[in-house]
Amino acid sequence: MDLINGKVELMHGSGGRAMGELLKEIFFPAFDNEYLRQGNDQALFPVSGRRMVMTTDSHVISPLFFPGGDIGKLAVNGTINDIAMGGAVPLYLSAGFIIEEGFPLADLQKIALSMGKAAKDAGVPIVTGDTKVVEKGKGDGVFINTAGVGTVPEGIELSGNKPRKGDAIILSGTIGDHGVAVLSCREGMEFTTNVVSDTAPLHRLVRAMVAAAPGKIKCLRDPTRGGLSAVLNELATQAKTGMLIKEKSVPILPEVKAACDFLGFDAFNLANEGKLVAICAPEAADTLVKAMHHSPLGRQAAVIGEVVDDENHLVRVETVSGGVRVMDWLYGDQLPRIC
Amino acid sequence: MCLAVPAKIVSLGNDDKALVDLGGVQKEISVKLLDNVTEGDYVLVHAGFALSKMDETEAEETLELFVDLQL
Amino acid sequence: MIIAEDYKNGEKIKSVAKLLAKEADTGRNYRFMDFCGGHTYVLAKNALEDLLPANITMIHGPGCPVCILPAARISVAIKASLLPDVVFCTYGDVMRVPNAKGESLFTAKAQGADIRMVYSVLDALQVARENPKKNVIFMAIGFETTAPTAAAAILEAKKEAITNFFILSNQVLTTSAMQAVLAEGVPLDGIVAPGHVCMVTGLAPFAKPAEKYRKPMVVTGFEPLDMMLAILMLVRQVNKGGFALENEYRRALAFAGNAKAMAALNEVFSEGRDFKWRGLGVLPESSFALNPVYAIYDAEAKWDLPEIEEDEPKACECSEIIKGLKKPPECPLFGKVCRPENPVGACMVSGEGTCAAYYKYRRIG
Repeated sequence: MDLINGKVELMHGSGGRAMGELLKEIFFPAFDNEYLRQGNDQALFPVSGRRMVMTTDSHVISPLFFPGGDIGKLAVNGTINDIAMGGAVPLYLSAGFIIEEGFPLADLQKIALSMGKAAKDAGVPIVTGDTKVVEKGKGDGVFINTAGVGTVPEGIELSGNKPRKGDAIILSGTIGDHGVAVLSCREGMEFTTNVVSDTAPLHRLVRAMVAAAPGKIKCLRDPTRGGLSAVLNELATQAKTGMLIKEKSVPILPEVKAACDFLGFDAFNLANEGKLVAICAPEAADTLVKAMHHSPLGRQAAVIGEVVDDENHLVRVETVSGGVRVMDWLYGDQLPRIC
Repeated sequence: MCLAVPAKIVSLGNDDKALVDLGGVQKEISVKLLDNVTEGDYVLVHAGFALSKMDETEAEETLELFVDLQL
Repeated sequence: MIIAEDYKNGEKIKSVAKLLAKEADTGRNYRFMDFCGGHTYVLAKNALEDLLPANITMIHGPGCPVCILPAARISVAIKASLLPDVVFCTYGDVMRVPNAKGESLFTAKAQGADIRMVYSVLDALQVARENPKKNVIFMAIGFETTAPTAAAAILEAKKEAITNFFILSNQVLTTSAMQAVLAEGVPLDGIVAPGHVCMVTGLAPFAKPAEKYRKPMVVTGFEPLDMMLAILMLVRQVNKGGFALENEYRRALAFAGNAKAMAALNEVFSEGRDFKWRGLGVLPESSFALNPVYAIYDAEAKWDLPEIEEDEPKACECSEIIKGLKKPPECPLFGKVCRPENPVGACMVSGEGTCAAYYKYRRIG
């Protein structure tokens, strides 16, 4: 197999020997673990604890490689984070690939290695997988689906319907980094900045948070696509409350602000892949933020607002000048504008 | 109506192209529509073109007009 | 630039608000129009109207080149994008704007049109260079600020003898719209005038309407502090009883504007063509048409793209809102049938349309 100049062909998804070769050359070494080595159509693993969570997430990002990450790293961290937002401990992942005919094998290997590394760094193995190849023109390079399972420790009950008036809203760090990193290399938009994607697995931060404020966290969400505005609006609707956010408390990198100015974007709508929003009882907010500061992914954690009564379930922002406006969420994608 | 942002000219290239910096974001733009642009100038960029030079002294003066009157 | 940060500074904004509270005469009302969509957006996004004394009312004018595109022009763009062997380039702003049937460029894209969003007209020209076998049509929208950039691209196409680059011109004049609003007799005490138009045209084009209609005008920048200072300057003018054209945006604007941009604009375009504005109707000589020498770059001359009159949606109050005669919540459709995901009228379309800015940032209930 020519991993330097070779291309994915339809036969690599046909179930024959070519596919076996692809798995052996690229995926098995990249993901290697005892469960995958079982070599069966399914992975067999023991589970302890009574309550489990399961989630799935498909990744179709363009471009596939961007500052700070790639589609593979994103696919691993994204699913780990969906599990972690339930307060759960992620255990095992699956990975499904839909590859377009003609996709360079070298890029596929790069993506697989990046996934393998992300899974190892997080301590969450990819235990089973699947590969299909579609004709040229019927895909966009590669699409990756990951699913994951995890267990929820005793006593943890997180849900978006729990926030109540007076609860504190905490954000784990700067917003918009991932959105800007991806935009900077999107065709037609190209600009240069030092901003890199924040893609990271949040389960260790969550573990530290749950330990620091047992029973006090109402819910956790990661503000991915749709950004902070989408997550806060979803939670306000689910909890049937309003929210009041202080604009100046929300950490944003100056470069992210600048990119927003250039393109006419709103940082509240930009995607994040390594941040979380926590809503907790007010008396636990300080303890929780301090605990987060000790975790590498929570260094800039801050209370950004509070849950308030509002029969219309609106999220409002107090601006730096003291006015109050609505923080709306987007109906579709944010588009660059010149006017 | 017309989104224009202030940016600093980092370097001038061929064909009236220039690299500008806005708070750590760098982008290639055109200076075809603006006279006497030099490196270090602050310009207003609209839809990929520098259209006006910024004057820092004027900016300060506009602010100062109101400083005296602050409560 | 440190100064740019100063113009976003919350404390400075609050101190101007205090001055306003002190200087605004409680014995009267002030009605000011923020003409530009960009100014409407700055007001809404920063919630500045919360900081104004109750007797100062801001009326949001028609200064958004996307909002004023009539439905028929969107249909022309859709038709052009679906022509064989055409790559259609546009700014992101126009993608979602619907015609009377609810179709947009997004709909055309789903039907297979090759539509590309660009940041600059030069990106569209680059697409033409890279695809010599395709015809590239650029959807040119904008006011006097943006039109010179399209002119620059056409001059470059001419220089390089690029023959597969065309523009669909929907570029219009702010001065025509301002004239129309003022002629309508909308009760106004002053106007926050378009800062970025003036960086190209200079201040002179706005001196005439200020004089003719005896309206205080302040040409203004687009940071929140700019907006507050402009309102303060207008209040002071009204209190003195004058009607001068002042420049709050001196850090960016020379009185004379940008001669080089104007030269490019006048070389390629003339202000000769009547244009139907959404909400304002047909305004004479209110849009830019390509000069005869450059007609070969005109998509509408190259292809048969007839403009078929389309009715503006009934019950939509856009035209009253654009003229500042009504506020969005006074429209029966606002926030109910007409929302950003399903815009009925022009003002709900662009992020800086009056209704969209209201819905996005000021919605109540």
